[in-house]
Amino acid sequence: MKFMFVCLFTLCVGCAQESTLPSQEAGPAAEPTLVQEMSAQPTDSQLFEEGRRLQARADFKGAEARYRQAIAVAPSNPQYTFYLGTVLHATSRYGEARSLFEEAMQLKPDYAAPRIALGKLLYDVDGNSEAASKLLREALELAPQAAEARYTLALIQLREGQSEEAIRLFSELVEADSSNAQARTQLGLAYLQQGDIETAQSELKRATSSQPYYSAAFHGLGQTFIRQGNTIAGQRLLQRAQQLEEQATQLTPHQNALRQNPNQPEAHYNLASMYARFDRLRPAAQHFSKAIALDSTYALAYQGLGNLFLRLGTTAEARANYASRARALYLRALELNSQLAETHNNLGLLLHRSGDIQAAVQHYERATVIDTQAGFYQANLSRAYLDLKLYPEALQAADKALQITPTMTGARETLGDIYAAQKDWTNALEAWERIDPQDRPSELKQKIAQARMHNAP
Amino acid sequence: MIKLNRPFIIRSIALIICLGWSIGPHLGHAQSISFTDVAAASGIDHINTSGSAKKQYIIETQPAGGGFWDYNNDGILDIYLTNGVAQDSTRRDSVGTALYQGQTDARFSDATSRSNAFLTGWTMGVTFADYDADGDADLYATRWGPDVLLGNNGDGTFSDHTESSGLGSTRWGIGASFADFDLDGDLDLYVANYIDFTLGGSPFYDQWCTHNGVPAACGPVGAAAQADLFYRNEGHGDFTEISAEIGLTGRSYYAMGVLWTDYDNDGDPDLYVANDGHPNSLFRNDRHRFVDVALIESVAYSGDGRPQAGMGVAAGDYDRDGRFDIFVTNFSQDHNTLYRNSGQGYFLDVSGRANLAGTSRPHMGWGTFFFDVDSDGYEDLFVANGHLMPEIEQAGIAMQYRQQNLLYRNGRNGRFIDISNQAGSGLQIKEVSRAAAYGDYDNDGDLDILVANIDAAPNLLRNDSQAHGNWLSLRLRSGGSNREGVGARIYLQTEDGRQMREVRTGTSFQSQNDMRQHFGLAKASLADITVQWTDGTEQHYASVAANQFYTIAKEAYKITVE
Repeated sequence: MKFMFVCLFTLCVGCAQESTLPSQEAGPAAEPTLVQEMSAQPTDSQLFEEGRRLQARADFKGAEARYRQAIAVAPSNPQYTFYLGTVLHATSRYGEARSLFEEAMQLKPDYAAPRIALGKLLYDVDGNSEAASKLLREALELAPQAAEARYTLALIQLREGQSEEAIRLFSELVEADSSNAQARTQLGLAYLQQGDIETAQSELKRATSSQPYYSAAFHGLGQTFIRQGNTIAGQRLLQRAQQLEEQATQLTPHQNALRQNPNQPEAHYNLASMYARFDRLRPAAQHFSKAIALDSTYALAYQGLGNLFLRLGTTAEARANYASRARALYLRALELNSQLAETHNNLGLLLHRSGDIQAAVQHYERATVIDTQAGFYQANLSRAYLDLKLYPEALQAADKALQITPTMTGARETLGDIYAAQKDWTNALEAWERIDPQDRPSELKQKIAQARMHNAP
Repeated sequence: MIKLNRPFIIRSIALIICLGWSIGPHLGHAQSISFTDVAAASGIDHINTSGSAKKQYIIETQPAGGGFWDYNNDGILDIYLTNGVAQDSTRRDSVGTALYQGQTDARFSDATSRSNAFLTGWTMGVTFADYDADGDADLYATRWGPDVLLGNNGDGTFSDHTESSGLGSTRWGIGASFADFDLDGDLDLYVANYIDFTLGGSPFYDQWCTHNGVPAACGPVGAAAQADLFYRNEGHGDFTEISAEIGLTGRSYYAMGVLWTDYDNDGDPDLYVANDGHPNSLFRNDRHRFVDVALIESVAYSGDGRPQAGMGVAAGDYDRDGRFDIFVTNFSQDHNTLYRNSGQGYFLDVSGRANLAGTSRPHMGWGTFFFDVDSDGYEDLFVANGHLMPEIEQAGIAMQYRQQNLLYRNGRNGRFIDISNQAGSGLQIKEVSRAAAYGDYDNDGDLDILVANIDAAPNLLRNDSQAHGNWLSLRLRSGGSNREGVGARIYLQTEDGRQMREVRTGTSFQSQNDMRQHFGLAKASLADITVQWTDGTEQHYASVAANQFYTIAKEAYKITVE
């Protein structure tokens, strides 16, 4: 039976932190619900497990209902109360969440999880550093391995200027998990705050190596270089940090959408496309693949994945291998939706490169018919006609490309090439010379020189 | 029960005496600082009206600006307050800005109508300066809609100079500030603009967004940022917009607070802009072209590498090391940020160490300034607070819509002490505050505070502190085009050390402080003063007596008691 999930239109405040709460532990994908398989009167533990399952899918409404049912059966169970609190926290019902965390702590005084959740709530939402720190310290006494509590407490200490304690706590975190780039970054920043530039730099370098997309690590590392007087290196790193920060800003809405709709193929596709735009190919591929796994008829996801393969490969052999995979993906995409102009164009490019120009022309033409406003489809078509020595057709396509996008350098170069192929050096030269000198590759410069020689009296 | 033996008690008493000796004066001092709201009693009856009570549109959350100035040159501070628009269309023509003229009895009379300084529509912030060097301060108002320049006619009235001066940007202006960026003697103007916004239109239409689970006005995220504007004073009462010419062509952010300060002590004014939700900007003045060095100088982000939501901005030498430090107010659930100027080409985020981080997280900060509240020679700090969303109180969190403002006393050890709860009834007020300015409106030698509030009367917080040190107040006068000495730096030396100030226009948030420079002298009765004018002229005045208002006249090289 297909699982129906509810889309929530709540603003996800502090989702990044939420993801590490126990309530957010990964659950299995679509499966029949326990309740549906259960007898008429499920037990409290069955209701609770079902709630966990729903919560993992971001079905907070469903999860809340199950937890409330479980609590109705077993009102003194601290775990049920705590998890209900996490759902309410995730849906921004902070007052109720706070009461439930407090109640869970009363029901089980040695229960660390609600202390951590309440501590985070007090800090992130109420802005109460002191009360949050107290709770997180208590939690760490009860559960010394609780990384979430240690990290949040360390962060508070760092922001409060208590760098020594922050260093101790962050060090414990990276000792426990050397791949924890977030903790290592903050450790570096804590050393930076103390003025220990060398240690800060060493930690931040390690953080950027293990997590090359974490802007704060690059920001901190840039600071260390600047403080050592190496402004050029520092500036480069700070610019990278800013770039990553801007990427993160653009990724965040898509990440939030996915968090709320983890089984929606469009959410994966949108996030994948954004990753692809930033050349972050691995997560892009993961999310395109996930979109396909969730909906095997999702043509755009095949196209997106195909585009990634087109960008891979450092050797000729590897490139050929990836190209054949891209081709298969494009064909599948077109099988599902023959109206995808970009797919036709990209498949045309693949075929063109492999020497099958006739087939490439067919796909380019199809792309130009579907999307009449994309100049570069016309430019590609023009180039293919040129390679087939069909000069009038090539000329017509190049003209159309330049009508649509007058500044398109590639189309103008092709136009010149078409004239040159017909030994019309005057028009060839005119076309090429209209390209901004700064945009002329060396090959074009050579062609221009050659045409000038031909034109010379 | 703990049983106390005699040696323990004696040791304890000794300890208490020792502690009392060392920290007693501080504690006693804090208790003696007291502010009382005297706005209504002083004749200020202005009520801010900012659209609907629900605040569905972001425009309704901002228009409470104002500041101190002396528009009629009588030596008594006057007050100008901005305003929004009434939701009820029948009231629209009667809601607008207000000008209050200071009287000799420390009361104010409403001079709005007789001065022709009344502006209707969404007026945000103000800055005052004698841009045309005709001997009196003019007024520039940032607005949603065309900004306005009111020229001071010198007879207590104003004329609209917007068109003739070439100003009047239709962008949504927030912060604005005059400075002589090219040191040519006249005052140029920077205007910080916010977002491309249409009331009820794209991109937000008539929708609500949510924040912390409750309804909130949409924006600024989702709206296009409007580029800031820089106007060069051409010296004939007109300005030319030259942002591109001087290097201000970078990416546009949601700009709010503006601050001119010579942070690198090279003699020309640099520009800091607090940006909402984006990295802040620090434009270093490199021979009259600007380069954004905020990243390099570490003042773009918080110390842990996050862009914050910059609102108001202030500069002061709180640690008296001869370099101006920068303070930026931010959104609630984040901390206000104190960037200490290391003097080595970068700033350090010392908010936590200065005790300004945790204390500010529950508040949404706006107007702010350094000022020496107790005249002890160290600059203290004020922050005006207030949330954006009336519904925030329904969110089940500790956040409130109306918030208490914050007053920090400088602990003289790099830390500030939050004395808000011990600073009298004026600091217990909870409003939705925005602009904040300091000024000695009653000319009694201590600094008072003006706070503009959304949908409420402003607060005029009279400084009633019993114990404060000696002081002196300096007004600069120059015969050139920069009549008020904007950008000049003043050093004051006593046996206790050296302090410095800089003459600035529009800073804080939509606001401007008293342009007279107040110094606390603690116990010193004499001080040596050095003035560095923007043209490089340096003047020295030795053994200036405390507890007086002075005017320093540049051309006459003379200091006189007012």
